[in-house]
Amino acid sequence: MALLTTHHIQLKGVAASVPSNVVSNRDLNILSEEDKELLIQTTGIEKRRVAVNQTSESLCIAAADNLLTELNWDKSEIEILIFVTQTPFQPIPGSSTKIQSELGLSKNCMTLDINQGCAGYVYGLSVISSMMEAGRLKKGLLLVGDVITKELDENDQSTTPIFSDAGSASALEFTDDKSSMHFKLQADGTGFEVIHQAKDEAMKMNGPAVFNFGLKEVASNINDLLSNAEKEIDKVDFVVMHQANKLLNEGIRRRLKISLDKVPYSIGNYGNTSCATIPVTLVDQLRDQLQNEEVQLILSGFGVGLSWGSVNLTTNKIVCPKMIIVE
Amino acid sequence: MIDLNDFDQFEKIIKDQFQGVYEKRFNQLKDWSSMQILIVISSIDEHYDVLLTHEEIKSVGNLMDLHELVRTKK
Repeated sequence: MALLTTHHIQLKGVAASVPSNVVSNRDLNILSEEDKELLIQTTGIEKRRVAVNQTSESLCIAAADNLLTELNWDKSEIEILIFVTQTPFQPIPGSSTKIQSELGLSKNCMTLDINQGCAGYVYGLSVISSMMEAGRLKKGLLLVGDVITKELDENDQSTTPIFSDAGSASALEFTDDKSSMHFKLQADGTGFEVIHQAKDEAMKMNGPAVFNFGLKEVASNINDLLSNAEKEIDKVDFVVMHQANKLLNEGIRRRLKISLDKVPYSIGNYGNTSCATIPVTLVDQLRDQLQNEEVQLILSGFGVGLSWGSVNLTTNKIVCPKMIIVE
Repeated sequence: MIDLNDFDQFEKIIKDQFQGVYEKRFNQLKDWSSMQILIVISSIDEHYDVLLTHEEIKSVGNLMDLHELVRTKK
């Protein structure tokens, strides 16, 4: 069972970026007025960000540049950069080396690309924190982003009204204190085709299958994580879930038996931004708390693969710039 | 307290999800959109703690059959 705990690694900052182009689901012409109203009411998604010239890389670089400036970090101290995306600008080579170069990081900074979607932020955090702990790496950057709208059929009612684009950057640091992150990571390849994109085709999603998977698996994953970490959900300040759709997330919240004020949503204005929904929600909904307080969090991602995972961590007055709008 | 055998209550719970929308085709389950089915799956999960699949809902003809399906799965 993939229950991991990492020690000495702290999250020091989170930034998120979105394209400037805003699209409203009310303006969609692929749904009747009746269906549009029901979709907005049910998914919670009213507006989405759709990339025009932006790429997953450019969105993440904008977030990282901003975050590094706010942190006032010496770039030569960054020893690891991980880039999580399903929508790189080009297939070969992975983009992490180019991003390293564009950010002006040192040749002593190792880089790694990970192909992950909705669970990508949690999986990425598990990899970077494990490697930083193992190598006592001083500072690291986790960049997570997708321009998933570029992979959609604009007439597909099950994907176009849901998905949106965003990038993010998270800064991590090795410290001598006892801080820890607890993870529970899972996967089920029998659901490989539930969300998939065949070569030269648009991405397709079996919405009802995703819905049943989420209701069945996510709450128990979080409960197992808490049990392993010997923590109670009442002591957690916020459960930040992948922003799949509001109907599903509310079903998971009910199963966890937690109040609405502990489960922030950014989905109304930003839609489902694939792997970036968790950092987008942290920035959009919890910026004040993250900057000014100690906050105990559960972050939970679930979707394509099928893959899912959750992490329990505590942040303490981290750097969290305002949402970055990329022209 | 929800009585699993009370069909009128079951019908009201499902109907309330749609807030007047789709009133005309409410009893024709075969014509329901994926979104309607998700709403019903969620509602039955919430009130009866029974998780139905999309295929199970599509396999029944009307609300009474759906109610029976929930009763048998509980």
